[in-house]
Amino acid sequence: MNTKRVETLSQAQKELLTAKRNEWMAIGLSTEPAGRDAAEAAARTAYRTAGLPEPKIVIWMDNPLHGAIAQGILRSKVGAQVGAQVGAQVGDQVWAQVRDQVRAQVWDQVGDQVRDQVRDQVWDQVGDQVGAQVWDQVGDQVRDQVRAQVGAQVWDQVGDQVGAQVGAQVGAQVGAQVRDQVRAQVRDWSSGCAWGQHDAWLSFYDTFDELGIVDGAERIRGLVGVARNCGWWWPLAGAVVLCERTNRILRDPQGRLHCADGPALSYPGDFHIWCWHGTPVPQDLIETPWDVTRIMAESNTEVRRCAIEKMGWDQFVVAADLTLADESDDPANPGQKLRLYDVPRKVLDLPVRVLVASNATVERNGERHTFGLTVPTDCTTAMSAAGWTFDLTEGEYAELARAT
Amino acid sequence: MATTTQLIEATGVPVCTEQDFDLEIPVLTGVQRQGDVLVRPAIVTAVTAVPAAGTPVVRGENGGNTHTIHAAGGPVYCDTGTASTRNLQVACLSVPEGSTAYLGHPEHGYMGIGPGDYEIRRQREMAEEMRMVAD
Repeated sequence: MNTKRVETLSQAQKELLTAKRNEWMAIGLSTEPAGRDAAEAAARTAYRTAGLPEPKIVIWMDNPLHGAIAQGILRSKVGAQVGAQVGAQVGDQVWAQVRDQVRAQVWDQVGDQVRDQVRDQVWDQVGDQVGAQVWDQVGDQVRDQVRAQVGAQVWDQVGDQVGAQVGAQVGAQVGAQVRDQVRAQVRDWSSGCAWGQHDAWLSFYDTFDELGIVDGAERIRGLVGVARNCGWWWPLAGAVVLCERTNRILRDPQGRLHCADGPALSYPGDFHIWCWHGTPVPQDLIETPWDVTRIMAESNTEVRRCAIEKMGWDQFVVAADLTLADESDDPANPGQKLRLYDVPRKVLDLPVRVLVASNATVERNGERHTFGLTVPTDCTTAMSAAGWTFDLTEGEYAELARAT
Repeated sequence: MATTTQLIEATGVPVCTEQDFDLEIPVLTGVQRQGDVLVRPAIVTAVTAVPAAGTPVVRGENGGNTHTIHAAGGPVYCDTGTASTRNLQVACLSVPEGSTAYLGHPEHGYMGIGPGDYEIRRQREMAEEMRMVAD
């Protein structure tokens, strides 16, 4: 083992960082069907690396929700009873862990799929979750190796240029949303899993492995191989549950999950997340837009704001009959107005006003996009509100010579 | 002075909205706005030369819609930083005599900026705390 630390990266090594970042972004956002053979082989490698016997039983599920239920069924060893009546026959303790949202129908469907795949294999020997050995211990070991063999500057460089970026885009914006959705339906059963393609942290160690400057980093390869080839997965003693990847993912220019006319993220097997600029919202908010009554009846402020933005503030101020506080010409935007409205406290649970304005540039189809910007209530005029959005005084903003 | 057509050819950045592509783009030295980005005379000096590919001042993460400064007629200098809701400045810009800077964006087109020193700001709005506006 190297006793001398690597303190700097060569130019070629620095260029590799960008390539690794792009590679792991592509892994995280992949919508291709899983590479099943490769994923299974990599999972076996991960078990061997952890010093565990390879799993005899391999189950494939369409999506993380079904995966969570499947691993629960396997662990509870109700194999013989899996089938149409499984919902009724599962012990109270097991069933109580699953919320009402998961209907018996989904449970039965998953149970059938598990039974079809396990067939005659003996699954009495299926034991508990082994995530702690498979990734915690291995991950810790690799981390310690990296820490011992590279200096702080190199650690930070790889962290900033690969780990943090993949983590922010793939882990935080996508993986966490999937986790929240699954957890909302099956609570504790969503734990004990790895996120597969969404395991952004692997990008950091995979980079050190490829740089070739750390002995021992190759122990991460089993986990990396699974992440490259499939979605979420649960390693159990004697069995492994692997899930398909997302088959649809749509994001806004800021990289947040977003789609204005359908799910922003989907897996096979009817798992969908509807999102407005990163905020998960109910399906009907996106697909059958809400009217003012429905908007104001929504108890979640974030969701309410999304619904208003989807309707458009220009429409909402009319539909909700908000009071116009001030109006003026929009500087350098001939024929267009700035309109400042009072927003009742119950709309956004905030003391704000809204400035409704229009783009200075028209779309190709002749339409002109109108939008709303929320401003503090101490903006008393439309012009001062416009100025506030750029941290300018009313007078400074009025000097605008051109707007596009 | 250049037209939109000429700038698209020179920079490779197309424009997808309704414009008169053959109109000479006015080059101004006052306060100008491109969507949610504002250019304003300021007492600053930028030192980083704008390369042939342009200097992005506000990026779209997911492959979209970056506001980019391009140099024409001579060198232009642009130092970039990160805006926060307390300090909206994303860049400062210095255009020497004889040069012109163009701020380009696929939806807003190009904006001509004449000799002088400027700051470039992003827009903010109120939420539970202030936040930057996403174009």
